[in-house]
Amino acid sequence: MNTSQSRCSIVIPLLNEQESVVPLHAQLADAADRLGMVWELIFVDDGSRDGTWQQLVALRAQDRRVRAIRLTRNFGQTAAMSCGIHAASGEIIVTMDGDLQNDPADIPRLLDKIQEGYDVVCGWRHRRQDKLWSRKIPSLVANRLIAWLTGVKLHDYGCSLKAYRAEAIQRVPLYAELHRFIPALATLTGALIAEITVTHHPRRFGRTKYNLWRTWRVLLDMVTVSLLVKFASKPLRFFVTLAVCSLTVALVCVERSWEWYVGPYHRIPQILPSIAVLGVWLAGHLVIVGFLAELCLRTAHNRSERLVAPLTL
Amino acid sequence: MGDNPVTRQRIPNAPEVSVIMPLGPRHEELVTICHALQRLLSPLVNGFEVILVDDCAGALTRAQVEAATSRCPETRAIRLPRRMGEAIALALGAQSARGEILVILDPYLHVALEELPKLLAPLRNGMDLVCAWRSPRRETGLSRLASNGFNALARWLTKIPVHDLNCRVRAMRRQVLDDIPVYGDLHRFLPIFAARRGYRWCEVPVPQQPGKQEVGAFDVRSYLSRFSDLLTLLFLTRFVKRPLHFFGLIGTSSFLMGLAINLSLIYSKVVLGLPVGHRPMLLLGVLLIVVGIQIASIGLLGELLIFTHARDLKDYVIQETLE
Repeated sequence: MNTSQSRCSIVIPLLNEQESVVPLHAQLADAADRLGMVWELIFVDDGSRDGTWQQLVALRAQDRRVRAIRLTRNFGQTAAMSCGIHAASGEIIVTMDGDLQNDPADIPRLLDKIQEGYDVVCGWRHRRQDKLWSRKIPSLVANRLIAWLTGVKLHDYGCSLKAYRAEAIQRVPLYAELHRFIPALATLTGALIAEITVTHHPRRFGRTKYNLWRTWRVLLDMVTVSLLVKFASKPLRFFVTLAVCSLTVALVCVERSWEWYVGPYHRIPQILPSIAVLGVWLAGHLVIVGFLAELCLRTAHNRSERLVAPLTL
Repeated sequence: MGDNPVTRQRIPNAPEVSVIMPLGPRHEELVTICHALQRLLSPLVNGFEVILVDDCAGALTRAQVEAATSRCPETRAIRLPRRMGEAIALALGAQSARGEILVILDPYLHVALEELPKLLAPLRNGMDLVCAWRSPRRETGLSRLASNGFNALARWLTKIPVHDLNCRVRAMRRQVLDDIPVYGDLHRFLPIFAARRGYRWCEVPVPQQPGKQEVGAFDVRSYLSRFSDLLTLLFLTRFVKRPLHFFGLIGTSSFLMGLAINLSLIYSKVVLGLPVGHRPMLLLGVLLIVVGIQIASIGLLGELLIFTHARDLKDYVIQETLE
């Protein structure tokens, strides 16, 4: 494949990484020059309170291939990444962390996979250099759970080092803290996903921005994404299935009540009508919610390009 | 949320400052105001315009607007076809404004026009939004108490130190109003939304004009609508991005409680052989299950709505770019 015409954008969200900026740029420029592509480096300063922005201004003065975007406050990694992705001009977009834990030397291998025809290539931090109990174990559990819930089998959802075809990533809805779920969300648009092992270095500067409290939020996000992935294309079917289950339970209860009524005692145990009422009520509610969900997706589809559709390559 | 401020083109020959005045039924003589603005602003800024938005305020207003537009060259007017409320008037005024700095004035002059330079000065020092804070207040009794209570509640709910949300005299870069959608009665909360989007803002204490009291903003009937405004605010600032986090939690806990109650009833019926049909607990359990599933599914619906529109909602605000 002819790579000389294609452009590669490398997007890096930064939060209080003033020591990392200069070495990161040196490593990246070194790796990117060997790609044989035109490249640009997009740093997104996510409301840093240290000298990160000053470092970027100085860097920009030396190297015109560097672009820098500064956000008004700290909006979170997903927002910063989304900002950089939408600002990128290349056909191929690489994202990575700004903390020097990812190795830019892996970028050529990611791009090789893209050239093979994949739309999203994820890094897998095979020998991860982090604290065992606070980072590695929760991450292992989370990865297994996400893989199981979303049906997208990857080993490492948390690794930021990924490469995308721009058209694939730019149509993925990215909001809140969903960057972890990009692969799962990308499958919604029909993207092909691959995974390769990448090097991982221990942290040299600054502090980690993760803590265990986040795990709870990640868990909630996980449930949300798995629901979205499962029923985003056919909400009415999802809700109608639930409604039919609940209606069946109600009907069984009505039938049992009837048997009690015509039986020798001529009375109905109170629990049966209660469950019947519950079942009918829920069935009605679920069908209505299903309709609303369908309506909401339908208007979204009419408004812009379809959300759930195979990519045209 | 609005187009990207960075890509916005500057209009050639545009004045620097646009003063927007939404005109309700109560206002001072407009020609006098426009002349006073002329006197005040001409030495201070590089060109200005005054936009009067006549929100169907009546014949007297209409005559005054016509007089003002004919006598003051900087003044333009927009007339709304029917009474549409201050927020819409404001949004339409902002749409037609050409300046880089927007000043919203209250035509009843709670705050003297002479205080205007105080509001413009911080904008030159990098602020994005400057709000007037009437201090000391001239209202008395219940009205003052209600107003202070409202501000305190908003402060507590949002953790953003606002002191006077009811004063509409504000000066801002136009990016702020382009980025933040104001509708209904939400223009009151502009500083809160702006602060949450990362804009730099401040309040400037200005004396309230003697004899100019707020009427109607805090009569007892409006308490309910102010209260619902605060709920909207809480909802928009805290939960709008993750409806399922909020509703899902409430729904799931209600569902689990109901399930626990009903399981314990089934246990006593099946294992202990006690009659349970007459116990109100059964009804409570059923109720909690229904409510739980309803709330959670509405949360899912909200999440779906956000999800499908996420590509249009910009989650972030760009301060500057080096290209």
